[in-house]
Amino acid sequence: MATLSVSDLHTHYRQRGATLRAVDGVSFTVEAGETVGLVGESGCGKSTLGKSLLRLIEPTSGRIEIDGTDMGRLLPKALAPIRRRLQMVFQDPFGSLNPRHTVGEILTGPLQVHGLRDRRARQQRAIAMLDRVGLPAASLTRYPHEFSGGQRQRLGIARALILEPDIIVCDEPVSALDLSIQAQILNLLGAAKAELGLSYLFISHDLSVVRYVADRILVMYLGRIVETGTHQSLWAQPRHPYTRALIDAVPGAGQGTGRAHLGGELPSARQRPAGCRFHARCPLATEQCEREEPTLRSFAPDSAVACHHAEL
Amino acid sequence: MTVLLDVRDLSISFPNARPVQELSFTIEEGETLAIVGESGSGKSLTALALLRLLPRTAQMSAGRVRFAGRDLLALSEREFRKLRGRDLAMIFQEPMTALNPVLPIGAQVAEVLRLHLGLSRKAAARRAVEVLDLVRIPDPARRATAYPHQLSGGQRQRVMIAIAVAAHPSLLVADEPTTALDVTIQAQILDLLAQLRRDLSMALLLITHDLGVVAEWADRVIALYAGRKVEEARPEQLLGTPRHPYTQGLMAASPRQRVGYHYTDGPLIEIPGHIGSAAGEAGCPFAPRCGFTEPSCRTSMPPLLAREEGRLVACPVTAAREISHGHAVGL
Repeated sequence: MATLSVSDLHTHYRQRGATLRAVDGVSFTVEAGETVGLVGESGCGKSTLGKSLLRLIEPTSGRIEIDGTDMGRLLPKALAPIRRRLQMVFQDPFGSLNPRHTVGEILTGPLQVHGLRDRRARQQRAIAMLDRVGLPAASLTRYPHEFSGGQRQRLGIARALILEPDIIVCDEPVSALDLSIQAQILNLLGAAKAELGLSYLFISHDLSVVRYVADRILVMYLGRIVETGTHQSLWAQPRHPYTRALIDAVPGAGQGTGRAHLGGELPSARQRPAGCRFHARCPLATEQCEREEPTLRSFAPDSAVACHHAEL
Repeated sequence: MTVLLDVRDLSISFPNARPVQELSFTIEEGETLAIVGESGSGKSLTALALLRLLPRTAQMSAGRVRFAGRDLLALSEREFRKLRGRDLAMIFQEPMTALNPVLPIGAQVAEVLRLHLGLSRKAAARRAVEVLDLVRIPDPARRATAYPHQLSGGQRQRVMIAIAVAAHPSLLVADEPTTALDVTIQAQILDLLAQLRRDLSMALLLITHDLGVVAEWADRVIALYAGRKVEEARPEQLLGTPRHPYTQGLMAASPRQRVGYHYTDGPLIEIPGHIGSAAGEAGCPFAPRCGFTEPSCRTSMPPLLAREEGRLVACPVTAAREISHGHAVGL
């Protein structure tokens, strides 16, 4: 049984009388010990998807199951023990840590909420966690602003790990960090995963990072998954024209070969095009693409593509 | 090739920090020079200093700043204003904060044309539409009346570029021009800059943290660390065989430079620690994070040594190692 199973998830926003379908029918699973990468550009709905899983944003419809328990139907009180198993690491480690709380309060607070009554035990767990993420125990009495960006992201990871979750949704966890710090954080996430048997849903716009961390990859465009593939297959042989364009647009990938870059921009999810969402920017688009929205077709284990013209 | 910009020993200091120290570089006509560095490297301050846009608390000193045969240090504020936006233009990372939110974009382009080229109101308005077309704003005549908030991030950056190139500058300074943009839009904007550079015979100073951008779009690259030039090379040299321990560390730490390397193959190579304060301590600023230090690294900044053709490296240790091993240091 999949650790996390999401089926037909929708998250819509009402905006000035219009409906914005940020997540528009997404299904996937994350198995125990697996890292699933979720890539796409801003506005594709990847962050809304991540937050919907934790019900930080209420999904409009769909099922989110953790080990077979449907999270969506639980009331807040019953949700708590399930939510413990699903944690999140955010992009901006400054904006997501309360500036008025000490590191000790940030780390022990969740333990208290989840019923660990013994103050000393909480303190000890916090110190052990700081050690795991490579920060000194003396950090406990300090405030987030006293740390560098990389250290703050270590705190963000410590907070996510302290409740011993099974899955962590990592939303652009290294995007705000300098390259020399990125590797430190990616290695920390890798070590935590290996030692604690975690699963990650790793959301990023950076294909190179996802290529390094992910076992399986989901490519999202305008609220839908347009391609899924394994680490072995997706990068070597992308089937969807959008996936191909994303890979080609990675700077340095072409070394100035003069290859044509994708034109146009991501349309607004409020005025989603008819037919295939990608057809207006797609070099392969035909009349069929303007009419009919392609569904995800599976062509190998863990591999599927939503394109009328993909060679399977 | 003629040297367009010649900067010697540029230093920038604040009351309690010296974020740029003794930086020298040249840009030839029509060339793209990239300055690459992480936050705190001093790359953006360098750009601001060239345009005399440093904050008031900053002190700048330089042995020489010559641009198109003129001594920029000798220009009065008034003379400099005539130059800035005309021969020497700049675009910024976040176009939303650099554009005027209450003025239509066509009028913002026209303003440059009237101010710097002396065009009439009518001629400037007409020419502004042509410039918007040049930066490939779709339907430019209609779009000229739009306000910045009505445009996407990519379109706003195109407008910024239109304003910057309207008076045909000979040097465009672009400070992280695509950092706020998505990867497919980033490629479009960099393609556009490359084409404008050719069409307008314009040199480009590209400030970036992104090694991939350097690889694809620069002719030459300078790596800055804590306000010091640590290496200068052609992009393929820097990315292929970096010679400074810092640039070597960056390449090894970057998943993008190690295509196909997966977490199941092992962890990434880290550069330990983080960029220290640029308060102007003695010695090599990278020494606290460096695996190759010798005592002299802590006491004086290593000089830039010419290595192979077109390459300068500020590290005597890797130089000695390579010579004694008879091959390049591999990471």
